[in-house]
Amino acid sequence: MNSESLISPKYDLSLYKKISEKYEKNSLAYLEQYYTKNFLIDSSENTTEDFYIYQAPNKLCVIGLAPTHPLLLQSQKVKSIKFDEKVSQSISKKRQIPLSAKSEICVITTEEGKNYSIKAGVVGWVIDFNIKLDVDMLQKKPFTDGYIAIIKPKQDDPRKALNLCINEGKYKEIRNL
Amino acid sequence: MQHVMKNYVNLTYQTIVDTMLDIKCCARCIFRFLGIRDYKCYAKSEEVLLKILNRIRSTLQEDSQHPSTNILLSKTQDKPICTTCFDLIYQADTLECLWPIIESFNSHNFQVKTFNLSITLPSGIIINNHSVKVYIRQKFRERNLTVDLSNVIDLKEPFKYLLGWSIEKELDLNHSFQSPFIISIEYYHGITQQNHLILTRIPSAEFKLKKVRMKGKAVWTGDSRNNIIAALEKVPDSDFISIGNCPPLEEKERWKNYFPILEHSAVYVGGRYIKLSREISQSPWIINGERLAKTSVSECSGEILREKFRCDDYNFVAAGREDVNVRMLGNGRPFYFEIINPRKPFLSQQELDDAQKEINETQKDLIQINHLTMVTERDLVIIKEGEETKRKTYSALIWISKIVTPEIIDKINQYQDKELTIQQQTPIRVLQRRAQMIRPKIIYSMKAEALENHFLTMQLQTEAGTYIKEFIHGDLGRTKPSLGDLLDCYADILALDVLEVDLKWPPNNN
Repeated sequence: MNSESLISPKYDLSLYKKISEKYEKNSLAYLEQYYTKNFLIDSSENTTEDFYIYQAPNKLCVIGLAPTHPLLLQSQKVKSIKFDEKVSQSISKKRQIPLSAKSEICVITTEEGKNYSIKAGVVGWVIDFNIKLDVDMLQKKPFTDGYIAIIKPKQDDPRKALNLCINEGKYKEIRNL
Repeated sequence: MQHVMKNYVNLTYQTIVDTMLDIKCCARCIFRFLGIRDYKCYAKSEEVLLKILNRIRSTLQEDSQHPSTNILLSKTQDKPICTTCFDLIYQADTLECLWPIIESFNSHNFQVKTFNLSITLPSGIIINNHSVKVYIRQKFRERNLTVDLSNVIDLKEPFKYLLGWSIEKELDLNHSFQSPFIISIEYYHGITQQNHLILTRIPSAEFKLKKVRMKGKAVWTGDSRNNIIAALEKVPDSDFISIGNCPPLEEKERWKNYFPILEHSAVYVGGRYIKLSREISQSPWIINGERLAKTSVSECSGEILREKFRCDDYNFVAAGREDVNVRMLGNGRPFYFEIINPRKPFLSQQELDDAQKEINETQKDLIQINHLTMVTERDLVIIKEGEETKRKTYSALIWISKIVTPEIIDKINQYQDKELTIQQQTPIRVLQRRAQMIRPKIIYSMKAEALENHFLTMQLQTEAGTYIKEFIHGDLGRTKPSLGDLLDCYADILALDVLEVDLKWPPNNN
């Protein structure tokens, strides 16, 4: 390398062509650089309260509303988002009992008075709620700024930690996307 | 020698000399018990020293030579072993004592000019020396005399000097208490090793051993040298005489030694490194025994330095770090190596230049180092400080979801001379090890250049500790504002390079 390129490096764009094509098709494709996408499907047949769970290489999981969640499908007005108080208080405290996948961590209430329950989805600990989350962001940017919580799984092995989840392909198949 | 004669001829000294010759202590040990601090005297031969001792005792008595003299001068197996040093000080300037040290020194081929000694003596020495003191006091009491033995010199001091002088002569080195090169040698004497256990049978000693479990084994503790000495001080002579051996039993075996340990304290070599590869890490990256990067800056340079300094090991420390897939360009990142136990502790600038060249040639495509030079321990704080306080300059290849227009470039470039303060929540990427917190960070300057379509490059100068990748893509809104926020689109960083770590290093580099 010569001294010029040490000070102002040039980048060979041909190396990034594939990535760019992918990004141009889908602006959110960049998330795949940082996370593996998993989905948690509603177990009851009549509803589609689905969630995404992105897992980062350091095993932390980000949970938020999947595109098929009724809050994103229908134009329901959200009135309030309430993080579970007990869970909130346990954040950053050491030696907490892990939450079960079915533990409720958040409740979202619509103007019509309908309650949507958000579960942990993985066995582990909530290490951060999205404190900046507001009603607007939840529905406008559900897959980035509108995430709900960050969970540290108890299990190190992703297959065990995310045993209730399915991958994106399977999710799309089930929901006919 | 004259002053020894003048000052030490009196009844007290004569009695000490007589008593110790009776039990066949070596002349040097008797000198110790007389409190003679001029250690140069000790370097004389046993014959000369015994002559002096005989003269001290004979001025008042008729017989000119103590009956033990001849046997003490014998060069055969008949020479009794001194019970107060197990012949250690007797042999301090002989090849017996020197050989293990010379052998070890030569096999390691240490290139040093000075040395210091760290000596551990057999623990049996403590009890035996005490026993001889008690014995001398008993002899004085029998003659209705008293004696103060507080001036008796510990074996260690004169032994260290004598051994030191002969090492100086033999290896052409200077014995210096400040030397970074330390020769440690531990002596033992198997038979007397447990002699201090008699203390457990003397109630006045209040000597208690504790049994503790260490690594699954039962070990007795409480018998440190200090504890033994403290316990002996509490014991009245009469108690010691009734339970201990006074005078000490004759010895059949001399001292032995464990393998000497030769160690040079760490030296430091500093420089700056350029990392040209997005595949190698800064230090070995191994998780659960699995290598995640084929090599590292630390190994690429350290292994060559290991050969040059002939060291046991090395530690690599740099002013901050970059991710594996980030290159370190510009004039490089300051670093230093701590060189552990170097056999060759100093390299000339020429030798360092050669080492640098060798490193750069073997790892041409991966790393380049420059300004390699010796640094002192005092200089090292600069590196730590650099990690926490210094500005960094970066170059980044960025993709945005809009087509790059001159307006977009202008929007970024308005921050070319204008600070931007961002709020960074701990990135999700590091949240598993770093506490959740919001940290304000200053971006001192940003400058963009359009490439094609969605691509642009940016140069950023930021406060230490700013997470650049997160500033670009926003980290799910955890960094506010992000580049995406400023441009009202999505943004991602495809490549990142560090261009400058603003730190003067190495310090003596002009």
